[in-house]
Amino acid sequence: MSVFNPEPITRLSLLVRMKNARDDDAWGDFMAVYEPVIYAMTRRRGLQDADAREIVQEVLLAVSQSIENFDTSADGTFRGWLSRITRNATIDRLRRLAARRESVDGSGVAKQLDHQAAMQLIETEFDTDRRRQLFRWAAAQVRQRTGETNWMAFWKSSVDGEPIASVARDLGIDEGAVYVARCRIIRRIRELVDDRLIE
Amino acid sequence: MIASNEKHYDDEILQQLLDDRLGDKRSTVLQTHLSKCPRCRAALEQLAGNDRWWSETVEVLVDSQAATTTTHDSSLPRVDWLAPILEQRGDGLGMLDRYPVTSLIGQGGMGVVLCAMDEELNRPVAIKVLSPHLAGVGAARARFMREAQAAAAIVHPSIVPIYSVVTSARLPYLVMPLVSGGNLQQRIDREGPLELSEVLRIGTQVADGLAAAHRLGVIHRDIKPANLLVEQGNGRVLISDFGLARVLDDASMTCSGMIAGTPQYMSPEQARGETLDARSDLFSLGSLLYALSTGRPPFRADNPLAVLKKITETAPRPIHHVNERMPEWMNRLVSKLMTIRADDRIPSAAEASELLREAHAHVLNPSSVKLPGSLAKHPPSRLRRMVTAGSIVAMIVAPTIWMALHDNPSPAPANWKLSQTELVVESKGTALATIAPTPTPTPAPMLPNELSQVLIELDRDLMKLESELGISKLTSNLSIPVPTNSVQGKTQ
Repeated sequence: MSVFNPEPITRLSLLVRMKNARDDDAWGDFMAVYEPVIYAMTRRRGLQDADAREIVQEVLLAVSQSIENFDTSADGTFRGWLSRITRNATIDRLRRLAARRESVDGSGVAKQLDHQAAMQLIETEFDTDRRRQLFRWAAAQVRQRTGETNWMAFWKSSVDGEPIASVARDLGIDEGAVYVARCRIIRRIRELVDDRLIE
Repeated sequence: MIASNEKHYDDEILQQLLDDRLGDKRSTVLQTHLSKCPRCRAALEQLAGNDRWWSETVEVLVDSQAATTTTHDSSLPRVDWLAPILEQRGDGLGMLDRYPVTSLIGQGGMGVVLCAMDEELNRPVAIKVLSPHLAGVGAARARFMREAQAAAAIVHPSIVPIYSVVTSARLPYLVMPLVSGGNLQQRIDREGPLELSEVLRIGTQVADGLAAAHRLGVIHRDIKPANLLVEQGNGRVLISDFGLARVLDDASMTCSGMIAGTPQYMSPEQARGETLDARSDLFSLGSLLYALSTGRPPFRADNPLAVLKKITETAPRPIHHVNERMPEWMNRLVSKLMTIRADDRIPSAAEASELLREAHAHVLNPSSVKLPGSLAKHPPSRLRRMVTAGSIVAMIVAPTIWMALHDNPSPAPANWKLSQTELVVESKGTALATIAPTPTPTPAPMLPNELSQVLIELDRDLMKLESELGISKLTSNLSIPVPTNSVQGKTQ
């Protein structure tokens, strides 16, 4: 198994990277989580692919423009701040989408109450979606660093639920190696997700 | 070497195993123990994450698999997503910016290839459009642009030039010349194995192109017959899709357990998921030459995984056994590229090209151009003789070792020592046995695998002897190093 390099997050350097160099990898990490979340949430509201993409672009554009406003002397990490403004921008955008539709559909007290509840739901939905996307992102990261055999050992034995013995036989490795691979991978995924959950 | 199953490891050690801080040798011992010990397994699993964590991870990944397979299935057969980006005007499929698109040439994991016309310069072009599921992935999109721009900087007659990289469009795309002679995969499918001189001609061109790219620090990562386009008329071969394989890596966001694309031409380091350098392309160049010489890929198996395993562990069947019209030296040439260890490979594309060129010259004119010396047949290597000697001697030596240890009231661990010329078994600094071939003036290079084989055979003979004599102490007291890279390293 290749050596796993955790990337220390220094909030300033990431900020500088994103601000100045528009570093593709830093953006990549950020977008890999938030883009799919915003897209999926928008699609769930019945928008076409093209319209959903446009909303994703709008939100991310708004986020990238406000990066200038980040106060480097304030408490909290840059990533955490970025995560919060993305959350706000997404919820705000989807709210406006819902409001526009309601003004077309007509209104009423009952609808207003529904509306309040719906807004709460959007926030929960965002948090759940983000958490799940973090898992996918972390899994993709770990897969790239861990080598295909180890990844298959993990995937087949844990996700597909195949018996350890048959996974070991198919991959031509020891049963012990299957145990070690899947535990290491679960552990790496947890480290990456934990790291970004608190941002 | 665990004496019994009674022994258990504490969390500290298991944590080190989890963090990959234990070293290869101890990890292997622990792995073997884990196969048999449910208690240590449970402890390791808990250290990795609690039950809730395991179930949440698995649940999310199962879900994403379902989600990606459904979207994949629906998007593959049709190219619905293409319609909105083509502006309907005139004949054909529509306009992509200023290019009228006439037809769809092909579709791959990364997007589609369109046939279009560059009206300003009045030339047909091929346009490669990144598919939306990748364009939506920030990292994949960024990589597509970066790799395409790097590839666009390489100007070489063996590399498909890139006219322009358009990144501003909703779906980024590349504009390239239209190469109309098909690709080498289609040619092998149609004609079977190619002639030797043809293989060498193509190989030289590809190696030249790779050398040019490698000089600029660009690695192709996906050299295979389907990525080599043939120019109609002159038969010149052009390498396409430089570096684009990485775009798909980034899209492994899908997390599905399947391996994207065909792994048949991957290098061992790629199969293992390690960091790549230019030498990875050289292995794939070897695989390509193999396929052109035999009409089939070097490693074949029922499933992609088994292919990966073969790549990392075995040498393919010799070329001249598959295609009798190929000389044995062709197999030697390809073997110099397809070594499992990157360090053992021909070190650069430029040197590969040189060798291929000399071999080609020899084939075209055997009477006046000699075959390159490195491809000529050598007498059986000294090492091969030593291997045979080694296994015979083992049966003679083993009892000696045993007796030596037996005479000693508290047997000290014996060690195998391996040097360039001899194999020494010693205990407490005293050599118990030495296996050394008669010295020859020029030592032949040793092959690490064969040396490991010697060790394994000696080990096995010892075990056999031990069980025949009914003793169990001998092997547990002997510390026999597992043939690892460090042992191999010393033989270099």
